[in-house]
Amino acid sequence: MPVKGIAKTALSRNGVSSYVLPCHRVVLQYCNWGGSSQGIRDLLKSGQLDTIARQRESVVFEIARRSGHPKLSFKFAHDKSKEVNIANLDKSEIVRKLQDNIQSSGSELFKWNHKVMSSNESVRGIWSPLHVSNENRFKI
Amino acid sequence: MLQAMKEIRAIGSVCQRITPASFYHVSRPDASLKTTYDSIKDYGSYKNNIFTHRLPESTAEQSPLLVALHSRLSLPKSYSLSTLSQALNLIKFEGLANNFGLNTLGKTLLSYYVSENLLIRYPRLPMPVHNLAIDAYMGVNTLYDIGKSWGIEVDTTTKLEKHLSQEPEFMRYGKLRFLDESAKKSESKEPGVFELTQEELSSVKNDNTYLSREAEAYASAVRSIIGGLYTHEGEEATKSFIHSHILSRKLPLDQMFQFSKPTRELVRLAEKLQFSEPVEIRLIAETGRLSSHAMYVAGAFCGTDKLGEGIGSSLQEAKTRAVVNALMSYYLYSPVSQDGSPVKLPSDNDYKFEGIVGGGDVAI
Amino acid sequence: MNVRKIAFSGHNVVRRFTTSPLAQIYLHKGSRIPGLKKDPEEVFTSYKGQKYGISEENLGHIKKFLNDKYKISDDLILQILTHKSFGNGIKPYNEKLSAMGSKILNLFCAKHVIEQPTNNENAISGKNFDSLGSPMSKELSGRMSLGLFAQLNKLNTVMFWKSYNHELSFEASGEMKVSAQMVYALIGAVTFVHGKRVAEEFIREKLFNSNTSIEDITSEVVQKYGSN
Repeated sequence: MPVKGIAKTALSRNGVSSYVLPCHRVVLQYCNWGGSSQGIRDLLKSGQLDTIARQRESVVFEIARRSGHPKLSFKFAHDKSKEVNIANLDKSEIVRKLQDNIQSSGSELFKWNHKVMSSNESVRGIWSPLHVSNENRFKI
Repeated sequence: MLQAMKEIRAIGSVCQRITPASFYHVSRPDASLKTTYDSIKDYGSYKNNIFTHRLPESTAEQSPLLVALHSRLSLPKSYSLSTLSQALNLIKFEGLANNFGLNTLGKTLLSYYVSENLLIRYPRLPMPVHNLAIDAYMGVNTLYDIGKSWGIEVDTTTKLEKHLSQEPEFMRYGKLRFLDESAKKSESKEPGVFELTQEELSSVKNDNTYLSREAEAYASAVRSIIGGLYTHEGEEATKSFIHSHILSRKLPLDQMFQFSKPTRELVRLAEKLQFSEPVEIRLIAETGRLSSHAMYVAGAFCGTDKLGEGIGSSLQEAKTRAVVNALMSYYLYSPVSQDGSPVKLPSDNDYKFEGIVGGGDVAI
Repeated sequence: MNVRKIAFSGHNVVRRFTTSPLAQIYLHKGSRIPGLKKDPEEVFTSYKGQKYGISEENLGHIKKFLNDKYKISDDLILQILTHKSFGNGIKPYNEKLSAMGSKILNLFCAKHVIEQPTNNENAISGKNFDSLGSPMSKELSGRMSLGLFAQLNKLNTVMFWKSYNHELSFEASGEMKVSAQMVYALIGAVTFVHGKRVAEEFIREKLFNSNTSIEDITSEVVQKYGSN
C-alpha cells in the first residue's frame, strides 16, 4: 500500500453554521422550610420562572424540593455539569445566576497566556531564516 | 408484451449462471420483524408486524425533553415530536415502532452528502484517506460526539426505579432507549470500570478499541433525526442541516496521511501523470555542514517546477519532508471556480462541473 | 519510456540524469519476470484483446446507452471502463466515480422505496419505512443486481480490468463485481458532469423504467437466493 490513512474525528466548531446551546437541563433545588431558600421560594411564587422557561425553550427546567441549602445544578453537553449555591440570595440575584450559567459552555475556566487560541494554523506561516535572500542573510 | 416476456426469460437464464454456492451473499430477511407484503415489488405494502403502533403526538408533546431537543436543534414546526421520539428508540421488542428505518434513511442521506462534498472538494484524496475522512465526518465516534453535544439523555433507570421515584411515563419517551431491563441492572460499581456485553466484546479490535453500545446508539439517534428531517421537510432542508451540523466541523485532513515509501510513490505518481521530466530532489539551502545544528532545505523538482519543499536536520530528513510535502500538496488539492469560490456540488441548484475527477491512486 | 531516477546531490550542485535513449531498454513480453519492464503494448490490452484508448469500438456502446441527454466526454468514458486492476493502476480508473455513483444510487433507491403509496399505519407522513431493511430494498443497489444489469445491457463487453483467473465464472472471476462497479461509475460520471437532479433522472429512466428493469432483476435474485 502506498499511503495509509490515520483515523481522526472531525472537530466540533459550535457556532460555525449552526449553534446548539450546550446547557440542556437546569435543576432548581429548594427547601420549603429553611430561611436560606427564601429567595428561590419568592422566585417560584412570582411566576417569573415561567417567563424565563418560555424564553429558553431549549432547556429543561426541573424543580426539586429537598431539605438543605438551595442550589442550581446545570447539565451541559458532553456530560459536563455545574452546581451553583444560591443560599440566602434574593430573587433577582438568583435570576442573574440562572441566566449567566445557562449561557455558559460548561467548561472549566482557565487562564490562556497567549494571544490567540485557534484550531486553524497560522495564515502567514512560520518565518524561516533559510529563505531570506542571500544578500540579506546574517553573516558571521 | 412479447419483448417483456423475452427479457424476463433472459433474466432467468442469467440467474441460472450463478451457482448457488456463490461468493456474493444476497441479504436475507430478518425473520424476527415478521414482515409481510403483498408482492415483493410493492414497497407500500411492506409491514413489520412486530411494531404495533407509533407514539401518539399528544403523549410526545407532554415530554419536556422532546420539546427542548426540538427547540435546541431549531427543527422546523412540521417535524413532529413523535418522530423525534421514534428517532431515539432503538428497542425492537416493545411494540412501539423503532428507529431502524429512519436510521437507514439518515445514513444514506449522510453518506451521499458527505461523499459528494469530499469527492468534489478533495478530488485527489487517496482512497484509504477518503474513506477515513468520511468516517471522520459521519463515523460512529463523531456522531456519538454530536449526539452528546445535542444533550440527548439515555434512559438508564429500570421500571422499578421509575415507579419508586414517581417519574411520569412520558419522560422516557424523550430519552435515548437502547438498554433492555436486564442491561440497566448490571451497572458496574467501580468508577472507570466497564463491563462489556457479549456484543461489545466481539467488537473489540486488535488495537484494543471497541465501539460501545452507547456510542452506536447515539450515532443511530443522530442519523435517525436526520432521516426524520427528510421525512417531514424534504431533501433541501436535510441537505442544509447536514451542511450546518456535520460538514461545518473541521476535518484535520493534513494529519490523516501515513506514508511508507514516499519517494517511490512520488516517482510512480509522476509516471502516472506523464510528467515529461524526471523527479529530482535538489538542495536549496543549508546552514553549513560544520554548524553546530546543521539545517538543510531540500526541494522536490520536476524540471523547473518545484513540487514540494522540506526542511530537516539531515539531508535524508530534508529529502523525505520535501517529497511528503510534494505528495500532500498534490493529494490535498481543492479546485476553485472561476470567481474564486469553492466549486459547486452536484446537488446545488445551478451546478456546473468545474472541478476534476480523481484518477485513482498509484500502486507501488 | 523514460528511465527515471532520483538524484540527491550532497552539494548545491544539481546533477541531472539525462533521459536514456529508448533503444537501450528491453521491453519484455509474456509472463512477468521481476526486474524486467513489460511491454506497454501488452500491458494495456484487455484480456479480450481490446486495446486501451479512445476509440469508437471501445466507447461506442456506452455512448449509445447514454445518448445525447446524458453525454459525457470520451476521457471520462474511458475512465469509467478502466478498473483499478488494469495496468497496475497507472491509467486513470473508476474508483472515485463509482464511489459517487454508489452513494447516489443508494440514496435514490431508499427514497424510491419509501415514497410509494402505502396504508401502513406506522408510516410517517405517508412514507413507509418498513420496506427499508428488506432484502429487496437492500439488493436494489447491490452488486449482483447491477452486475447482471450490466451484462443484460451488454455494457460490460469492453472493460479494462484484470482478474486473477479470467477462466472462472461471471461471479467467481470477479467480473460481476467489476461490472457493477462500472455501472456505479457510469452513474457517478453523470452526477459529476450533469449534477444530481439529472443523475436521478438517469437512474429512473435507464435503470428503473427500462426493459431490463433493475427491480425485475433484483426481485429475481432475491427470490432465488435471498430466502431462508
